[in-house]
Amino acid sequence: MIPGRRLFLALLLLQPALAAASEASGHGEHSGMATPLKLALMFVNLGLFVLLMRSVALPGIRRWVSERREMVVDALEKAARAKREAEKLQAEWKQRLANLDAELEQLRNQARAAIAAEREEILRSARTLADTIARDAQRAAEQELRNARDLLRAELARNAYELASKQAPQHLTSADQRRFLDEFIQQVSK
Amino acid sequence: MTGSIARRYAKAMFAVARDSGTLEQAAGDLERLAAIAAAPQVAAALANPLLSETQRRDLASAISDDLALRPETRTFVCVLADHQRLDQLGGIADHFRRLLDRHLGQVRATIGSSAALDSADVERIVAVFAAKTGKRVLAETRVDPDMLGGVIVDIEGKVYDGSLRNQLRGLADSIARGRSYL
Repeated sequence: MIPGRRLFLALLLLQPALAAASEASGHGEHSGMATPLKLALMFVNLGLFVLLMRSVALPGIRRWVSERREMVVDALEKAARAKREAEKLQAEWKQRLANLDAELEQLRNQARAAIAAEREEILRSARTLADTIARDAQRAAEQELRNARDLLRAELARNAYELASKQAPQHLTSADQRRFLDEFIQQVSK
Repeated sequence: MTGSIARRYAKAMFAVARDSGTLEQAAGDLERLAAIAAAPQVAAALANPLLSETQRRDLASAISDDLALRPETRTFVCVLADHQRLDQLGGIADHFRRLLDRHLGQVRATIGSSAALDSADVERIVAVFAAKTGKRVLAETRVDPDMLGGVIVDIEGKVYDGSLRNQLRGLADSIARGRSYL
């Protein structure tokens, strides 16, 4: 940059002189001496313009171009990644679609097995419950029978006792009374 | 509770009468007192908690005078009156009689039958229980037609039931329980 700066300063200092000389020579245009000075002034102006552009505009343009380039590269990488993922997803789905029938069949088999197991469990529970109910009913019936038998026996015993109590005084003789007494004394004496 | 109170007083009275050699007389006094105390009006008066000490003493003196009690028994009745135990006379007489029976080596028995027993039968029964207990048996008889037949002997709270009614009940129980009765 230093040589460029020096050249720029030199051209900047040279430009007014050339401009003045060109102005002065403007009065004698017909002599043919003005054309080189004008040409030199144009070169100086062009150099100044180039140097000015180089030092002021060029870094901004370079930076912009660089950023733009990075953006484009980044966008391209993202697009490439997205493309790879999409391809991977597509491959997975293709694989799943290819295995879908087998998977569906497996699910169907699992569902059938679960339903069969559930059915067996329900049947087993129902059989157990039915057995329990039948057993309880049998026990209840047996108990009812025992109760009825006991009631009948109790009624029979009560009737027998009442009948015997009524009949005994009429049929017992003094010999019977004597026998009762003898048996009592015999039992107590033991 | 009342039983234990009556027993304590009976023991005290028994000790006094035994020491003075008047057990039989004391027993007679107490039996007469118990007979008087069993009358409903007298029982109510003896158990009345509203009577003052003087009134209770007067009541005890009046009863003692009426029954012409001996001095020892009269003193005993006054002690009962002082301690508001006149209503225990019946129980005291019972316990005293038991103590006396035990002292004399005798037991009391009640012989029940459906028909009146002759004296020979009673003597047979008395002899059996005398041999069984080793004591003299004082028997009293009663007739209970509901027994149907046989005898029941109650000797100091222990009952020997040889009645036909009891045998029939046993038979009925066997039938009810489903046992063979043949």
